[in-house]
Amino acid sequence: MFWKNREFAEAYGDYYPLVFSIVYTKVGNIEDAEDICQEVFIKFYEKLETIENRRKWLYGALRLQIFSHFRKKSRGSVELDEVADDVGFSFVNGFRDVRIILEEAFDETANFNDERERVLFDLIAIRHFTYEEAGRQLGWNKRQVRYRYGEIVKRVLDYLRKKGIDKLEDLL
Amino acid sequence: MNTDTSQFAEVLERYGFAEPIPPEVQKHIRNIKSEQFIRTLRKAGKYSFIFGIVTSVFFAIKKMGVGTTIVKSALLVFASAVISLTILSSGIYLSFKFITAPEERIEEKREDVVQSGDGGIDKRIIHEKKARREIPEGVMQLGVQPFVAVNVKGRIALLAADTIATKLVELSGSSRVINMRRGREGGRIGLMLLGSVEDLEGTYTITAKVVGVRDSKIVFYTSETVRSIDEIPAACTRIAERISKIIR
Repeated sequence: MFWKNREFAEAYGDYYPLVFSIVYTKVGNIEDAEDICQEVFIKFYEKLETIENRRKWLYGALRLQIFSHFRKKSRGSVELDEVADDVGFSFVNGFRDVRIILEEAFDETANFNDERERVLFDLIAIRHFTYEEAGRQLGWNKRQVRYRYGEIVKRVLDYLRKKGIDKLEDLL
Repeated sequence: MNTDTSQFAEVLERYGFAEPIPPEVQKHIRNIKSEQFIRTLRKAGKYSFIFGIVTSVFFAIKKMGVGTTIVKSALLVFASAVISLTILSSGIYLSFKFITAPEERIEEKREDVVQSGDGGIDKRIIHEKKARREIPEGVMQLGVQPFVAVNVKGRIALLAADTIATKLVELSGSSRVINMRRGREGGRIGLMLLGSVEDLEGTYTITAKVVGVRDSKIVFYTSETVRSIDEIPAACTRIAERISKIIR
């Protein structure tokens, strides 16, 4: 019991800001985001021992929960793809290829020392958390956050180089 | 490095990865995390008060940008609880000790000294402060009254009472026995030793009785008869030994 609660608390501490941010982006209000997060994390607690990749599991669970939320609101007439609103589809040709390469870079395990670095990257790069705020979410000070984030960016740029993208300017 | 990160941010923006969260929402997430965690655990039916405290500490420490774990937070809570309990119990113990301990009372004693200076009477009052130890509640003291002299000189009776009182102090302690002739030191006198020395045709009988102060009941009685005055002190010692057994 203590082991499970401990694991849950530590995972909650790391993933909650990320899960909340994703849900908030989709639903647009704090109250609904809180409710959805609660539902996602209750399920997460129940399945904690069986989950292999927590981050991926949470992404999947929150997607379903958001879908369920919208379905309730619109009385069942919503499609899952509408909710997913995959921005990737709106890019064409070369843009889409670059986006796929970037997605691969963000997915590449070697670019992150651990799951917390992945969360840190997501909070700063995607959600625009300040270094200080991201640190306060994850229990790091500003200096540690700046260093870690810098190292992640370096590794991602190395990865892109290997994929033939030598300069970031080329993508702009 | 800064150029890389800022250019990288621009790239993410351009390719539609950026999903910015407003600063006030970022702050909100930080502030509600602990509260939401407890709510979630409650709803899952796994909440316990102690674990709630541990996680509150855990999230509070993280909020300060300090890395910690649940185990470290639990240890911190445990250590804080031990320190608090130690301080609290020490406080209670010391307060209790202070309340129940014999009180060092400062008593002002007025002593009148009669001094003849120029033939007249010069009365001076000397104020003397004297620390007096109060007898703890529940300890019954024995007061030794001057003995009555019957057919003997008064000083023999006084000497007998003093001898018994001195021996009793020796045997039972000064907190238990008070020689009333030398002044009452206060306390709770529950028993009184009364007695007499009587000359009956050349034999001396020393009688001693211990009387309860409240109900005047005789709780102990003893006597010794000796053939000469010289034997009186030894007889008094024997009487004292017998009495000491009943006031122990």
